[in-house]
Amino acid sequence: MNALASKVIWPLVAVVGALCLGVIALRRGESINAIWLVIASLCVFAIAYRYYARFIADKVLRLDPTRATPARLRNDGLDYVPTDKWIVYGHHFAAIAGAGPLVGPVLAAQMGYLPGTLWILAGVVFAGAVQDFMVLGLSLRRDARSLGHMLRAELGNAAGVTCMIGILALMMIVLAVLALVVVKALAISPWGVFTVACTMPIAVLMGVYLRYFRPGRVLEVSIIGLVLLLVSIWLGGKVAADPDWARMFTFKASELAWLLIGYGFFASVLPVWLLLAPRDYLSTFLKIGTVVLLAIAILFAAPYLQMPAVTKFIDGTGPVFQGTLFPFLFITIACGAVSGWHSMIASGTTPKLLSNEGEARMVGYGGMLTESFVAIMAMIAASAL
Amino acid sequence: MIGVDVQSAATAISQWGFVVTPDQLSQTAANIGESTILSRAGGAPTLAVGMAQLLHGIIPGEGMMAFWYHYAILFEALFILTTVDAGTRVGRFMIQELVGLAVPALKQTESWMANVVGSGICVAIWGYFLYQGAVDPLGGINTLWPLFGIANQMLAAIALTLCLVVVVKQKLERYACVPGVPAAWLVICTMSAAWIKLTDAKIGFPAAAAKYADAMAQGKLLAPAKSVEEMQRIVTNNQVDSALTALFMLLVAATVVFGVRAILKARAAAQPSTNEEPYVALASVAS
Repeated sequence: MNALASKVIWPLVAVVGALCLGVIALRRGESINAIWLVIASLCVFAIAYRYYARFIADKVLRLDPTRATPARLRNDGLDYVPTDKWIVYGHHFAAIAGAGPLVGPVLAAQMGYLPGTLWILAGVVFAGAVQDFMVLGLSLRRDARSLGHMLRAELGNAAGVTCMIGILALMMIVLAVLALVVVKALAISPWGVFTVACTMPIAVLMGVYLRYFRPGRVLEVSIIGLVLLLVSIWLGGKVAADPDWARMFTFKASELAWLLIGYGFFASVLPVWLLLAPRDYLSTFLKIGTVVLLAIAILFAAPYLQMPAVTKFIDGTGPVFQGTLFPFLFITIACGAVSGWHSMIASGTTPKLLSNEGEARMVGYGGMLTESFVAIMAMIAASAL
Repeated sequence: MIGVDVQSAATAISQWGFVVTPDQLSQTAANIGESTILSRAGGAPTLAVGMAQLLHGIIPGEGMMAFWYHYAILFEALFILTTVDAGTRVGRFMIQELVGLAVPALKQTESWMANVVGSGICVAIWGYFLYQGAVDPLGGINTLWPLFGIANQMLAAIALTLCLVVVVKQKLERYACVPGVPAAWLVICTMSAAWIKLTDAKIGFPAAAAKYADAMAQGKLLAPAKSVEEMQRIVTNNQVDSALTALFMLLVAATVVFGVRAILKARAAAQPSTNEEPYVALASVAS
């Protein structure tokens, strides 16, 4: 089976992917069907995961499944908790996939779909996923320490402390920006507030269930969480439709800011298995579910991309953001191609949860590829408008 | 922004070469149950409209367009919130490590006191910028917003530089390209973007500060400012952004210099010289 796969299936994937990319890059003068884009990116991701990620795992990081991870060694029940690989994957994906994969491609679509798409595909395979995966691998071998700490250990004390302060400043900007996007999206939106609020008690229930009632039954708890989540989405619609209930869940931006600050505090203080990991895992269902739904919609509708492949705005006079193709395209599309934020997570919570080094490829490289696929979807959604 | 009413927006968009009529813009807004889709910040609603149109293709029906639009907004909010909570925890770890250099007691992640103090500092910092930004369209995080893209990619450049240094330190130079090429690319991109933002006469921060200061000296108001006080705020914001951009450039440059130094040192050494924890067999640890 394996021999067959490597002789027949993988070359086939490569040929199909190359064909689709060729169609995207070379067809001019008429609009192009979004399906080419979906298939091309899936083939690129599959080949990168099968070959490049494995090469990095075996040769560069030299991951060893027999080696104990920090979560196994420390296992303090608070931050270091060996966790099922699917939950770690869900947590990691949820934590890295912020606003970026959605907003960046939409902004960059003003230059046409081609530059953005090519950067997303090349960027994720050779830069983004490599960064996430390697930082995760390094942190796993260093007691799950943070990026700043590793810089101090490897580059020297002065470099390390300078970088730690700088990274902290960069990180606070990123956090405040992301939080503001949440506030703006949820302000005066009772439906959204209700459903997002519901994910918290559901997460606590899942965490307690998995730790005390039925340890190890990930599938069971996943189904319970998913059903409750769907119920809360449906209930959210009812809440928004009823004037009295709607008022209870309607908040101004300043009130939401306070709620968000409070939530951030508890998510940081409470044991990771109780709120943070199950909630992230839970939202991953919704995220991946919606992305799959979008993929089905794209296959079903097979929309033609209305946007030209390259617009005149590559010269830097664009309406949504200003700046020339180089370097600003590579700044605008961060998540989905490569994003520094991910290295924070890959040297933060994720290495403290992973129970085996062998799972790092799926979580680190695979998680980033999933996010990149979200970015491709966003690009299509923006260009099909 | 592109225009304040459907008529002018449609004209503007048509000039860019896309075919849009005022009717289409109004119709789309009506379909999703919002009063307007113009000039809403952040790109999130733009995407939500696109998503709603796609999903509407699977399950069409009257009023379903509004449902899909709100579903898409909810989806985006949930998406980002999970980043904020995990980010706060990671920020807490970093603060504990940094402050732990001075106060060793705060380094213990198992300690509840250290945990609460670290978390408190972390949410206080980002919370301050968030709250100011939420109540004041020109204050708080809105000042720093333009730095977001460059700052984030600079982080990636630093992280990949670390990966490169470790690969060389492990005497695996033959694989140095794996982290080295993307690291170099990101350093080039972020440094040139930051340089443009500092020097360009059209999109640079100092240029914007000067433009608003000039207008103020002549007693004129420039959009989006509506008062002299807001003009002053915009000038200050652009000055803050200029200073921080320069500071971040120095940070990246310093990391590159320290990185090159560490690489040269590692190449001179005969043995691998990283700081990995010793091997412990998984089988020997009780699960």
